[in-house]
Amino acid sequence: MNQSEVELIEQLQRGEQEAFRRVVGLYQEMVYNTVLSIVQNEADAEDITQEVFVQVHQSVKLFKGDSKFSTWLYRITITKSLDFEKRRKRKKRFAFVQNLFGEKEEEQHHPVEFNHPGVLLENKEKAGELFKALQQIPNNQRIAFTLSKIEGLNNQEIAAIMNTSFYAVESLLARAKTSLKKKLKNYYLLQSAK
Amino acid sequence: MTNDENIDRQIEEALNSISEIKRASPKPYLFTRINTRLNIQVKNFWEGVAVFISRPAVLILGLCLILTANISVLLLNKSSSINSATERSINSVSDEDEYSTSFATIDNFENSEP
Repeated sequence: MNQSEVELIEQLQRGEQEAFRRVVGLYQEMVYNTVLSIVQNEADAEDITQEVFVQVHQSVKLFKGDSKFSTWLYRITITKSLDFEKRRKRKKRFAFVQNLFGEKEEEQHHPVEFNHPGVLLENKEKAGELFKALQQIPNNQRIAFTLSKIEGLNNQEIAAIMNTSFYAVESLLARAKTSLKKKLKNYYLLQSAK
Repeated sequence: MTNDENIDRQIEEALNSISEIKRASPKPYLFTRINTRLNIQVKNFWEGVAVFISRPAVLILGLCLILTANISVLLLNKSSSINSATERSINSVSDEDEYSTSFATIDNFENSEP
C-alpha cells in the first residue's frame, strides 16, 4: 500500500465521512464491475455494490493492512456476490416447489441472456453466450476467470484475493477455459442441430 | 469449413469477445444511496433490538434469569446465615471451655496447697 492509501484507510478507520466518500469514488467501478460479472444483472449488481460499501463502512476497523485494501475489498465483493447467488438459487428452488403445489409462480428469474455494458457492440452476442456458460462452471473457476479476463488482474493478485497459491490460480484458469469450451461446444452443437 | 471447425471458431470468438471489455459504471449518486442505506441500517438496528426484546421467548428467558438470580441470592443468604449461626455456637463452646479451664486451673491451684 502506498502512503496516501494508508492515510486514507486510517481516516476511514477514524470514521471520517470525507474519507468514506473518497473510498466509494475510488473503488465503486471496481466493485460494481466485479459484482456485475458474477451476478449478471444490473439492478442486483447496484444493490450488492451498496451492500459491499456498507460492509466496508462497518468493518473497516477490522482491516489490519496485512494485504492491499483492494484485495480486502475484492474479497468482500466476491463473498457478497456469491451469497446473493445462493439466495437467488434458493428462491428459484422455492418457486419451483410452489409451482409443483399449484401455487402461482411469480416471474423472478433474471434475463437468460446478459449484456455487459462494457462489451463492444460487435461482440455483444458472443459475450452473452460466454456469460451464460460462465454461470454453469464451478464458482472458484468462475471467480478466477472473471478476475483475470474481466478485471485484468494478474495471477499473483488473484492468488492473494482467493487466498491460494499462484499455481492453484494457473490451474483454476486452465480448468475454467476447458469447462467454458465444453459448455460452449454443447451450446453451439445444439444451435447447429436446430 | 467443416461443422467442427466452425464450432471451434465460434468458441474462440466467444472466449475472445471480452478481451476488450470496458469497466461498467454504477448509476450516479451511489454515495448518497449508500449513506441512506447506512442510516436505515442504524434505525433498523434499534428496531431490531426492540423486536428481539419483545419476543415471548426472550421475555420468558429474561424472567427465568431474574427468578434464578433471586433464588440463588436467597439461598446464598440462607447458607451464610447458617454458617454464622454455626460460627456463633462454636465460639460460645470455646468460650465455655476457656472458662472451665481457667476454673479448673484455679481449683488445681487451690488443691495443690498443702
